[in-house]
Amino acid sequence: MMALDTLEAIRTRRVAKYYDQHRSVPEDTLWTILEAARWAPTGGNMRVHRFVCVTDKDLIKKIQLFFPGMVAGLPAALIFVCIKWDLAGYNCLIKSYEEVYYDVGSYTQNMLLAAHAMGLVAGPMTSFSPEAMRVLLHLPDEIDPRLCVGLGFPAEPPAHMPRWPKKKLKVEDLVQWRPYPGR
Amino acid sequence: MTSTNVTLSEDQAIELMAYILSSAQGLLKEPEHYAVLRMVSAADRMAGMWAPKASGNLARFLEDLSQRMPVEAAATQGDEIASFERYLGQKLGELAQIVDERKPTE
Repeated sequence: MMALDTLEAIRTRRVAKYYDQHRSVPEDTLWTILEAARWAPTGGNMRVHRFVCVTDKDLIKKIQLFFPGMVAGLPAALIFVCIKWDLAGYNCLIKSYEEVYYDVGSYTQNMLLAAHAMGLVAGPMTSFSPEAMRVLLHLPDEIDPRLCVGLGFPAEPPAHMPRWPKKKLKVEDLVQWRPYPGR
Repeated sequence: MTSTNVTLSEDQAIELMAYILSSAQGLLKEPEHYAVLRMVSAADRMAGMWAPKASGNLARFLEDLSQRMPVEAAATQGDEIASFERYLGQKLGELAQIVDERKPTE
């Protein structure tokens, strides 16, 4: 499959609304997405994050019970972006080193774009119980799940679901192209 | 009111309990408007579990709720909050009517 042009991929990526419930994501595709995550920039190049990948449908169903943010149906795969605190230095140990949290976003964006380029849909989700994930995924104490990317093949929305137009911001709405006016 | 035992399966009860508690935990840090969606989703799930065991007006109420609630709630993602408020008001009126028509419990 031809990969999308980078800017085109950025422009056309959307958060998953519905997943095809009958198609699983091939393991090599997931590895490609995880490899894309690996290339994300990190604060201080610390590399203190780890990924937990789940493809077992029964386990995903159990995870869904403690995952109010999973509103787009059952993804075929989940990738949890976790902080492995024992790899971090003092600032990280007190969990106040903000870059470690920013890096979760960088990893996630790489995965979302890679998934999109490969014809999948994906969505970042944070509304889950970390304690429940710790139990269900047998996470060691030092592994801290911060965000989960749901992945799958796209599906059409149910016919009765309306589409609500979103207010779109133009780039000019987001940018201050010189210092703000002085007082 | 008359009372018929509505028995959820243990799996269904666990699903509701897990969802409600996880939502409560998450909502401590999430945007306020998520709370509406979580409550709607919990009610929708409960209606889906309850409807097959209900009858009469109550069954119709629950089936309608289960089918229309996600559609109506989607309006909160646009600028149609007033429409969703009206829908909830309509459903609460229907539920009050059902309550009103029920015979007293022994």
